[in-house]
Amino acid sequence: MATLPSKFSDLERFVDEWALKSEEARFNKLHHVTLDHLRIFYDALLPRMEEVLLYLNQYKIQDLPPEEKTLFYLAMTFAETAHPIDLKWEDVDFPDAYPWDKFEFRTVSAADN
Amino acid sequence: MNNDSITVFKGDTSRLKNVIPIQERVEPNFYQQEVARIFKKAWLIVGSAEDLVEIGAYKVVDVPPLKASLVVVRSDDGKIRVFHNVCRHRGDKLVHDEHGCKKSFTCRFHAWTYSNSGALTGVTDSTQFLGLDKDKMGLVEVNSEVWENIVFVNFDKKPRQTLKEWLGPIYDQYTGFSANRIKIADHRVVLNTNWNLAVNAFCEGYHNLYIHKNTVPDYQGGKTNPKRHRAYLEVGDHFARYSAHGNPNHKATPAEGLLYKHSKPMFPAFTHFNMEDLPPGVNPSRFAQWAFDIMHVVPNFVIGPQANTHSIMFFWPIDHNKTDIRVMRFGFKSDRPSDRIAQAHSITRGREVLREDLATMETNYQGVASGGIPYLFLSEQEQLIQNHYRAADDLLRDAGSQ
Repeated sequence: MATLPSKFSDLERFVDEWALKSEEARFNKLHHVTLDHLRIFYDALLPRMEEVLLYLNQYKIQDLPPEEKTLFYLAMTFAETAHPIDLKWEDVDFPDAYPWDKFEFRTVSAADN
Repeated sequence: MNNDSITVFKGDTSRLKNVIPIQERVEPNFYQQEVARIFKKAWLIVGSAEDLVEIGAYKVVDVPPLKASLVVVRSDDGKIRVFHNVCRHRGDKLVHDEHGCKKSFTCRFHAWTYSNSGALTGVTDSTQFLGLDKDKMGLVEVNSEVWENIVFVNFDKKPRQTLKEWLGPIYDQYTGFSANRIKIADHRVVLNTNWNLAVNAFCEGYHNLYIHKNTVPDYQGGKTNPKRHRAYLEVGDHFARYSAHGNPNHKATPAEGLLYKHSKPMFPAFTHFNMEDLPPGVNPSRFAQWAFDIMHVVPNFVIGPQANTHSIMFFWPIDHNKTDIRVMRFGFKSDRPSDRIAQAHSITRGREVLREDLATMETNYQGVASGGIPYLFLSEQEQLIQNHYRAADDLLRDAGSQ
C-alpha cells in the first residue's frame, strides 16, 4: 500500500526504515547503519529534496495529511543524517566524537520534532 | 603581511588574570565553598519560559548543587512561580512527573493538595491537625524572575541584588531577542568533569580552528581573519560576551545549501542577516560579517544569540567532578514544513559540534585534577574565562565577608 504521495512513489522503498518521527530515533538510526547503507538513502533523496520541500510547503505543518506527513518525516531524516556524507566522513561518526549514546533527548515544543 | 584581525575589547579588564592556579579549584573542599557562596547566592537559570506558555503548565527542575527539586509553574494568574517540590506536611516530593499542565498538585503520601499558585487548598482529615492554618502552609516559594523568556531563581532568602541589578547593563539590551522563537531541541549529557572547565569550554573561540574541523571546517574567520580572532569582546561584572566572525566564503555542503535555500540562513551559514531587527545587546558592535554571539552569565549560564536561532546552555555541578549539561536550541516560529526541516539540519550540525566540545572536557578535568600543571595560562582571546574566575573569586570573597 502506498504511504507517500504518488509523485514520490520512487521513495516508497525508504519509508519503513527512514521515515522516523523523532530526533532521537533519527540519531539512533544514523549510528546503527554503515556509511554505504546511508549513502543509498542520501543519493536517492538529495536530487528529490527540492521538489519535496516545494510540495510540502503547499501545506502548513500542522495540516499535513498522512501521506504528506510521512514524506515530511522522510525529509527530516535526510536533514539529520546527510552530514556524514556531506562532510566526507569515513564513517557515520567521526574520530574523537563524544559518545553518541550518552545524549539524552528531552521534550521540545516544536509541533513535530 | 600581518593580516590578523583586531579584536575590539570593551570593559574593565584591570582585575583579570591570565594565570589561574587551577588544581585546588577542582577539589571537593573548594566545591563546597562554591555551593555555599556562589550557588546559594547567585541568580541561576532554571529553564525557558517558552516551555510554560499555558496556564498551569509546569516543569520539575533539579538543581543538583543545592540537592533541590523545584516546580516551575505558570499559575492561574499568568505569573510564573517557582516552589520547592516538597509537600508541607512531612516533606515528601510533591510532583513526580517531569512536566505537565495542572490546576493543582496532590501529594501521593497523604493527599494534601496545592493550587498552581502554591496555596494549600486541601488537607485530608483536617480536624485531626491541631492549630492548622492553611494560609501559612502553602508551598515554599523560591525567589524567581523571568528575563527574556528565561526563568531565573535565587535561593538566598533575601537576595542582595534583584535580577536587574545582577545582570546590570545587559538587562535592557536583549529586549525581544527570543520573541517568536520555539524550542526545537533539548539535550542533556552528564560528564565526569568540573563545572568550571565545562563552562570555560564554551567561553572562547580559540579552539574552533582545531577541534571543529570535522563538523564545521570553514564557518568562522575566512581570508581576512585566518586565526579567527573574536570581532568583539566585552567583560562586565556578572557577564562577558563575544561576537564571532562568520566566514563570508563558507562553502555550504550539498544538503545545507539546498535546505537553507528554502528557509533562512542558520548555523553554520552566516549570511544576509538583517541587523536592524536585532536588539542592541545582540552583535553589540554591529560587526558586518557577524556569525553569532556567546554570552557567559555568571556563574553557569551561556547564551548563544544568532540571527535566526539561539541556544541556551547551563551547567549544573553534581559534585566537584561531575557536571550535568543542558543545551536548548530555539528556532523562529513557522508553520512551513521547509523551515522546520532546515531547522532540523541546523540542530544536527550544532549537536555534532557540541560532541566535539564535549570530547575535551573529561580529559581536561583529569589533567587538571592530577596536578600535572601548576596553572591555566590564558590568551587575550580567552578573556571570558579570565572573567569567569575573577567573578567567582569576587563572589567567594564577598559572601565570605558577610
